[in-house]
Amino acid sequence: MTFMFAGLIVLSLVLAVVSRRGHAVGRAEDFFVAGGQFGVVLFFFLAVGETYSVGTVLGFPGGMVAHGTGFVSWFLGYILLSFPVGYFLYPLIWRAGRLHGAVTLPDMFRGHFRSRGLEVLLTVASILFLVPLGVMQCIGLNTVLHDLGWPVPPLLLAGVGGGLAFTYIAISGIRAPAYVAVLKDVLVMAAILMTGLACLAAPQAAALPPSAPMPAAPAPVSDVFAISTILLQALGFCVVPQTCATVFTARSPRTIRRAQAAMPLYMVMFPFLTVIAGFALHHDLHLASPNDAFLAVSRALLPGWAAGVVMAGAALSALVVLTGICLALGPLVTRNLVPGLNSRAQASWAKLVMAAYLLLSIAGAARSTALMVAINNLFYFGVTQSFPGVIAIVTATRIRPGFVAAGLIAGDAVGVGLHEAGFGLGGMNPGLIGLAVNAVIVFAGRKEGLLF
Amino acid sequence: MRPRLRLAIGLGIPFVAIVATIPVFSWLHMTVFGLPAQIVWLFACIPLTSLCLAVCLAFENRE
Repeated sequence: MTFMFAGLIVLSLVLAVVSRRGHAVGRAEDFFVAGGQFGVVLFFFLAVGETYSVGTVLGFPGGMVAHGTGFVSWFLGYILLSFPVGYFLYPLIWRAGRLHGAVTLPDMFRGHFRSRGLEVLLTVASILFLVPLGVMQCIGLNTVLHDLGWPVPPLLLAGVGGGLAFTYIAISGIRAPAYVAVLKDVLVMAAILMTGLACLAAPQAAALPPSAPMPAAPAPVSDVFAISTILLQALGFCVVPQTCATVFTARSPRTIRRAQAAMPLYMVMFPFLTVIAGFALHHDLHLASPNDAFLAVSRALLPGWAAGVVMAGAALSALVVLTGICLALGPLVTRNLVPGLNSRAQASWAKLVMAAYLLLSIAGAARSTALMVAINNLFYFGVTQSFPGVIAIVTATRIRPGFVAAGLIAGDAVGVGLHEAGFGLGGMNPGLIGLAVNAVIVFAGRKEGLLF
Repeated sequence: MRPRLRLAIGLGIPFVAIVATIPVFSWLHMTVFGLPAQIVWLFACIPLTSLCLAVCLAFENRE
């Protein structure tokens, strides 16, 4: 198991080096968005690579073990709905990005709204809400590395993980996670299929016997919550900073549409993850935490080498997303917070920022044991609030920047505030209420445009 | 194909299949292989969504 795991991680580093060949990565645009040169295949793998993080691979079965099937409808629903939303929205974002020479979302906001204050506000909000996502990847990475059973302190193992993520970035910027994502997606799909099929073939194989259905959620998820969460997160998914960075790597809108049409098929992993969760629920596997369910089932049912493949797939799914977040975060600081650096200095300073972010995420993961699904929710409360501004940009609607800023602040405050205060509001996702308040404020400030 | 029709096929059908069916399945309270029928339906929506987008793409390519 250990040799297979280590061999695949070394292979990922080789791929990162290969990704650099024939491309200069000194310029910021090459480093962060590959100069907008990715075709369908690399765009597809980078996009799905960043869609299915360790939060999906370990968090989905973990969530089912912890809470039953209550969350599954909104969790599957928002990912699935985000593909059609992206099919229509991403080409518009791509065009707006080209128009404004954007590498980041705040670049687009600065170009359209011509407001430095709004650019800084969106940048700070984006960075703040990217922290829990990095922590989530590190929690997943810690779970995988802990399961290897090496006699090494957990913090050192987490440091090795962070070091790997940084190495990918330092080698060739965004090209490295794109190439590594190909390996990661092959491994993740193989891992899930092998483990799922092993569950079905195991003695007493009825992982989901009709007589013993999975436990319902302790507090059943209401329809209002499920629908509002699907809407919020399907929209939010399309405007998260690293998604926009991925969109800017595409060669053309047609590249994006072709990849988006194929992406839902990748979700075929979820029926197998459901079978794996069912197996974990009905067998005593001595789980260290619910997030450990997938790895524990693979260890119990698969030979050592195959368990190594599973662990490498899970670890790479955390690392690819972590590098994607870092590559979204770096330019947020070097272009939007501290502008004026030349192109090469941006890439150099961004590496420092990314290293700091990785250390922060590792430290956060060491202190937090929160369930990944819960962290996922908090992330979307915040990042979705840029959606009304993005709609204004792609529809060329002219809005006073003060209203966009006020909407952003109000949306974040209402979403997080209602969540922290624990107000019910009929089960409505507080993030969606925040988004509605935000949208009303933003479009109250319109001057003229295509929408009206 | 007109943009509105593309939007209806590419976004409208998946939206109805994923979101609008939630209250219906809640009301039905059915299980399939021990799983809530809604989850099994969402699994079926995976190829359906891809198909809808492929239809949009095919029409756009033809134009």
